[in-house]
Amino acid sequence: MADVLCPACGRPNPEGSEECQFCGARITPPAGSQPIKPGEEPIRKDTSDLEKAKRNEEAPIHPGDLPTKKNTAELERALPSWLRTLRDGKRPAAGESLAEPSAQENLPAAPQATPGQDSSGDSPDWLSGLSQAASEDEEVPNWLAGLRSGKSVDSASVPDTEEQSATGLDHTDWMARLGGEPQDAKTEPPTAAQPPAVEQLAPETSPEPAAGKEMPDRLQPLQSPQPGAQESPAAPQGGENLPEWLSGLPELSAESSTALNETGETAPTESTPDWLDQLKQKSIPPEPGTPAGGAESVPDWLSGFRPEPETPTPASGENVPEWLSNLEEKSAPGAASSGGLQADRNPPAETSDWLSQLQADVNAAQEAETHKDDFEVVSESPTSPKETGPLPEWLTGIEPTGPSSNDTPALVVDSHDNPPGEQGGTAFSMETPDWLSELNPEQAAGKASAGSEGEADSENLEAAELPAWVQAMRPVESVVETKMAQLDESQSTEQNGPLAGLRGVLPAGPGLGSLRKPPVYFTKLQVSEGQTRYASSLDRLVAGETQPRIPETKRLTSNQLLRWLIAVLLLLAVGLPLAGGAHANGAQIVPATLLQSSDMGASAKIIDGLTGNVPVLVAFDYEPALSGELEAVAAPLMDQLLSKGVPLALISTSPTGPALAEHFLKTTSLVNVHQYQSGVQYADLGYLAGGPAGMMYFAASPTEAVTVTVDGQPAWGTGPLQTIQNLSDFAAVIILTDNADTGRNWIEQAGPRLGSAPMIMMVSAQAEPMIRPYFDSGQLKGLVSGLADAKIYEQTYGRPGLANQYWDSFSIGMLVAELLIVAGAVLGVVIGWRTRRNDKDSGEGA
Amino acid sequence: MKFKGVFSTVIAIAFGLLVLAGYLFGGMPGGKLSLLGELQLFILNVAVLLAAFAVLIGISNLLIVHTNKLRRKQKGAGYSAILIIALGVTFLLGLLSPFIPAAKSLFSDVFLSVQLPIETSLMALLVVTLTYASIRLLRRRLNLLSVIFLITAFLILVGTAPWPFLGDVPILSDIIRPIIAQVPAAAGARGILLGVALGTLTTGLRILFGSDRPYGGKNG
Repeated sequence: MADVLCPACGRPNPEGSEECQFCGARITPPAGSQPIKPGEEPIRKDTSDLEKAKRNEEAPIHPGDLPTKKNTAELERALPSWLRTLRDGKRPAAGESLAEPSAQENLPAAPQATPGQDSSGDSPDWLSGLSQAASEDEEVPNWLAGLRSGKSVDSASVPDTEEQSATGLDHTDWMARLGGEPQDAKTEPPTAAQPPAVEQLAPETSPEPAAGKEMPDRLQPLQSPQPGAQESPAAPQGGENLPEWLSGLPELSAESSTALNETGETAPTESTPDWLDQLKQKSIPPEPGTPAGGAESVPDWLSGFRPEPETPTPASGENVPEWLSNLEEKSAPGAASSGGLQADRNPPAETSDWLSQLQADVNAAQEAETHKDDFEVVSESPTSPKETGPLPEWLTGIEPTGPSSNDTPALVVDSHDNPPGEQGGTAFSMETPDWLSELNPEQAAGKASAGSEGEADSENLEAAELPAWVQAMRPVESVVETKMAQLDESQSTEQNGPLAGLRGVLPAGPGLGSLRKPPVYFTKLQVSEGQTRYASSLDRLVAGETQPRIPETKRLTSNQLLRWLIAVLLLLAVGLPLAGGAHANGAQIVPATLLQSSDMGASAKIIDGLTGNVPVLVAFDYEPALSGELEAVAAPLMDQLLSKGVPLALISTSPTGPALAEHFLKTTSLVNVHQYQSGVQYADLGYLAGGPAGMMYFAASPTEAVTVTVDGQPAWGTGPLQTIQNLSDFAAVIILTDNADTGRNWIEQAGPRLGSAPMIMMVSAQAEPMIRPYFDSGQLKGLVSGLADAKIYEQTYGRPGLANQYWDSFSIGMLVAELLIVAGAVLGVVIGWRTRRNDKDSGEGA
Repeated sequence: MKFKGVFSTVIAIAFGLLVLAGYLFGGMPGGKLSLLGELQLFILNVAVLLAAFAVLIGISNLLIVHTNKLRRKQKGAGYSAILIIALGVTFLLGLLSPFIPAAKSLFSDVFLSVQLPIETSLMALLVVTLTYASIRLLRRRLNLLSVIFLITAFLILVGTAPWPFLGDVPILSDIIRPIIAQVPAAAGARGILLGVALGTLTTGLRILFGSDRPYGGKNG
C-alpha cells in the first residue's frame, strides 16, 4: 500500500490518513479546499468571517496611540535599505534614494509600502519608528510630512501654483507634460466628454512638485495632475531624495488622478496598505458631490479619494508610460469620450510591474462590478451617472469614498467572467512573480473584501501590523473556506518574522504536533507457528553460545582398563606358549606352515652355493628394539652359513650395530653354537660413519674406508679378510636391517660395486613392502622378511630356532590381536552408529 | 650474497661435480680407479671423517646442554644427571674396550643389559598401543579409509600368522596376503621410491647448479 507523505514533517503515513500520525498535521485537505490551479475558475468564497476572526484576535491600535514596540528585527531585514535609512532618521543622500531602491529592491509590492502614512497608531509597526523619527527631524520632506499628517491639507503648505507651473515647465518627459495638463485644465471648464472622475480631480489635491527638474519622470504625474491642490502632502521637496518606491505614488496619482479629492489623499487601492486606507478615511469627509456612478465603479482603494469634477485630465504626452496607455486601452469607452485627454496620451516606454498588477486589480474590480449584485454594496451617496459621466474603464473598478464602501462585501471575481489568463493574464504576463500572477485576481477580491471590512470597522484595519506587501504574501487566504479556517483555528498564526500572518506553517511547539491523543498502535507481533519455532530455535542457539561448555569427562579408567586388558591378553597369549615350553617338547600348538618364503627359497640357494673360504660381508643395520625379530629372521640362514665355516666381515652404519653383531653371534640360537671368534672367523669392522657416503666409500674401497676392527687389529691383510680388496671380493653381502631406507642405501651405494657377489637382505616384516621392489627387480638376490620366512627356513633346514620358539607365541598373540581388533572395530561401528543416531535425534529434536 | 656464500657454493658445486664425475668415469678397465675415481674416494673419505666428527660434536653438544641444565637446577635436572653419568661411563668404556678386555666386556654388558631391553620393551609396548589404536579406530574415525585400513591390516595379520590348531588360513595366507603384499603394497612402495629417486636427483641438480644451498648462503 502506497504511503502518503506528510506535507509538514515528510514522514510516510498510511494511505487514506487524514492526519499525520507523527506530527498531527492534516495530510489531505478538507473537501472544497483544493488549491486553485492555473486555468481553473476561482470559487467565490466569503472570507469576511475569516478576516473578522483574525482581526478580533489582535488588539486594535487606535489613532494617536504610541506605536507598540515589537520585535521587528527579522522583518526589517526584508526591508529595503532606503527604508531602514529613513527609519534611522537619516535623510538619504541625493541620488541614493532614487537609485538604490530601484537597483536593490525590485519588490513588486513597493508601491504598497508607500510612505507618507500617518504617524498614528494605524501605521505599521515597522514604520512607527519612521514617523517618530520624522516628527523629530526637521528635515523630513514636506511631502512626507503631508502624508504623515493625514489631515486636511493646509493651503499654506501647498506650494504655489506658479512654482508648480514653473517647475512643471521644466519637465522634459511625458510625465512633465502629464503633470502640466491638469494645470491648464484647471482653468478650463470640464468637458462633457471628460470622465467625471477626471473632472473631480481637484487641482488642490494634486501635489506640487518642489523641484521638478530633479524629480524622476515617473514622479511627475504625482504632482502634475494636482496643480490646483491646496494640500499636496506628497509633494516632494527634492526629487533627488525621493526614493523609487515613491514612484508608485505618482502612479497612483496618475491612475487615480481623477479620484483625488480636495484633500489630496491618495485612494487606497488593493495594493495600498491599510494605513493608507485609514488615512483616506480620516482625512477625507465624503462629499455629496461625489458621482454615484464613479463610486460604484471605483474600487475600495480609490473610494477614499474624492474626485472633483474640476480635476483636469492628466495631460497626455508623447512619453506617456505604458501603464497609462494600457489604461487608455482598457478604458476604451471612456477613451472615446475623454477626448483630448486620451488622445494626448502616449504609451510609455516601460511600465512597472506593480502598476501592471494594479491595472489587473482594477480590471478585476471592474469585472466584479458587473456582478455587483452578488455583493451588498451600499452606496450612501448615490449619484447619477449623468453627473459624473462615464468613467474610464480603468476607473470603473474604483469604489467611491469610504462611507459608501463601508459595507462593501468581499469582492470575488466571478470565474466565468474573469477566467485566469485573460484579463489577468495580460496584466500578469509581465515580469511578475508566478505566485503573484496566479493569486492576484483572488487577492484582489480578497483585498476588496478586506477593504470593505476595513471600512466597516476602521479599528480592525488599524490593528494590522504587517505591511500590505507582506500581507500580499498570503496567497491562499482569500480562497480558504470558512470551515477550513475554523478547523485550522487550532493551528497558530505566526505573529512575527517573515511568516507573520501565515497560519499552520510551523508546528505549535518545537517537535510537537497538535495536542491530541496519539493514535494507539497494535504492538503485539503477529507471527506464525513456524516463525515461533524458528525463533525459539535461534533463542536456544544463542543461549547455548553464552553458556559455558562443560568438557566431557574422559573415561580414563575405562581406557586404562582397556589398555591393561589388551596388555594382559597379549602377554598371556605370548607368554603362555613360551612358559609352557611347547617348542621345546616339539608339541606345536600351531601347525607348521605350508607356505613358501617370500623369496621362494632364493636366499637358501645362495647360502648353499657359497664356498667356505670366501668371506661374506654381513651388515648389522638394525636397532636394538627390533633385534629380537631380526635375530630370529637371520638365525636360520646364518646358521646355515656358519655351518659351512664361511668367514664373516661385520660392519654397521649404526653405532649400536657392532654390539648387536657381537650379541647375535654370541647369544642367538642356532648361531651361537658355531662359536665364531673375533679376528679368527670374523672381523668386526665396527661402525661405518657417513651414512650413504660412508656406504659408498666402503663400497668403493673397503680397505680405505675401514682400516681396523673394533678390537684395534688391522682389518685387511690378515685374518679372515686377507683376500678382500674390493667389495666384489666378498662371496656375498647380507644386509640385516629393519629400516627400508638403510636397505635402499645399501642397494644404491653398494649394489654397483658388488660385481657378481649376491646381496641378500634380511629385513623386518615392516620393511618388506619397501624392499621387495628391489628383490623383484633383481638387485637383491634373496629376501627374508619376518618371522614367517624364518619359520619356513627353519622348517626347510630342519633346525628349529627362535622362529620356532616364537611361532606359537607369535600365532596366538597375533590371533588375540586380530580378535581384539575385530571386536573393537565392531564395537566402534556400533557405538559410532548409536552416537550418530543420538546426535541426529537430538538435532531433530532441537 | 656474501663472500662466504659464494665460497661455499663454489666448493659445493665443485666437489659435487667431482663426485658425480667419479661415479661416471671413476672406473677403469681392470678394476682400477681413474684420477676422478681416486679424487672421489678422497672426497668421500673426508666426508666420512667429517660425519664421524659431527657425531662427536653432537655428543659434546648434548653433554653441554644437560650440564647447563643440571647447573641451573632446572626442571628434569635429575634426568640430565643420569644422562651425563651414563654418557660418561659408556664413552669411557668404549674408549677402553679396545685396550682393556674387561672394559670391552663391561661395555657390551651395559649395552645388552640396558639399551637392548629398554628398546625392545618399548617396541613391545608399541604392540599393545597399536592394538588398542586399531580397536579405537572406528570409534574415533568411522569412514571408508579407516575401514579399508583396518580390513587390510586384519587380512595381513591373518595371512601372516597361522591360527592355532588350524595353521594357515586358507585363501588368506596363500592368496590374499601375498597379493596384498606384493601388488598394492609393492606398487605403492615403488611409487614412493620413484618419488624419492626423482627428489634426490632434483636436489642434487639444484645443489650442483647452486640453486639450493643447504650449506649456507641466501637459501641455505
